[in-house]
Amino acid sequence: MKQNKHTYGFKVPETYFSDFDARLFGKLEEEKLPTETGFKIPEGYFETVEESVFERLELPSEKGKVIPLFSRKVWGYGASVAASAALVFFVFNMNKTQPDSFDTVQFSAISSYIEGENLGLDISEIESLLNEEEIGTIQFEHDLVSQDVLEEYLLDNIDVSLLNQ
Amino acid sequence: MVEEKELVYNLQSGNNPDAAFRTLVSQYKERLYWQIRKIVLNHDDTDDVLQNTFIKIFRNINSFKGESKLHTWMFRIATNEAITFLNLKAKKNNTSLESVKDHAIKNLESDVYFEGDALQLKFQKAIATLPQKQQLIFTMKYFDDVTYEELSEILETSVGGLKSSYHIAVKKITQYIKANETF
Repeated sequence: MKQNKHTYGFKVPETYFSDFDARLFGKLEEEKLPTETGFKIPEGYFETVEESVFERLELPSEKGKVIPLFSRKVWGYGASVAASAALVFFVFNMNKTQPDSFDTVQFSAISSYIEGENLGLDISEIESLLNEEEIGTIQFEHDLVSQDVLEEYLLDNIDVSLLNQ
Repeated sequence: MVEEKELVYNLQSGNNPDAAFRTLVSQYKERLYWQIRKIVLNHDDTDDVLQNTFIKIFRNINSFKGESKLHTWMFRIATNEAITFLNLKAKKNNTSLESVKDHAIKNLESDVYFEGDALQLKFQKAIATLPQKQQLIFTMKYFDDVTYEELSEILETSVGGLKSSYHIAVKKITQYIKANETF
């Protein structure tokens, strides 16, 4: 083939043309897939879900203010009497029994409680409680994967053509 | 539509946060719903997870530092909530996560809130065969057209890794559909 007289000065990634067919046909296959999930929702769901969230958070409803059966004042008197009784009971019983303290809880019990996902914290909440240094000292379970297993996994799952781009 | 920055300011400043939260729920409920639905598949479970997600957002809004966009942060919470929900379900039923997912897929056939045809059902089955993270990458990219940059923030994975994972997912799905074709 005759050499081009002028060159453009442009370059393409090394395997661009050899991988082009595979990428193009992959794209065509992808276009045959359905574009909709097929999921639907009950009628009026999005109008009702807001109120369900606000009720759980005990935020005042926009639909109308709920008037309590007993006024705050009555509850206030009741609460004051109950609090006084509890205080008297606590003072008189303080020396009789040893209350459970955090120190008496077994470390393994705390750890199995957390592992049991009973704490209800997600990773972003845990992250907000730790500083960068503390995060750096954590040994993740992933670290326990051996080099060989990791390498084998990557070879089985990595799309090598993309690494060359 | 209220701008994200304004919403965050109203939620965090204590200047009528309840009203700001109402606006937030109204603005984002549908996007977060579909994000969760694609993970847990069933409407009732999605409803539970969506409510839990908003409650978590409301209670943790002060820990949002603005390092990412608000909706990215909320997507991350929704995704974590959905995955935690599936794990807890597996634990409660004393079974594996895979079997919970299999069960959810089988239930789709008789689900009144699923109106997909045979190909859409097969498509969902194919998606369910992917590893959890690959599933998230595929559904967010394919159905919602989330950019790789945004996905990178939500899933805390490099853009290169996401691209690679997405292409592997497409390959696996098309192979599954071809292998299960009925003539």
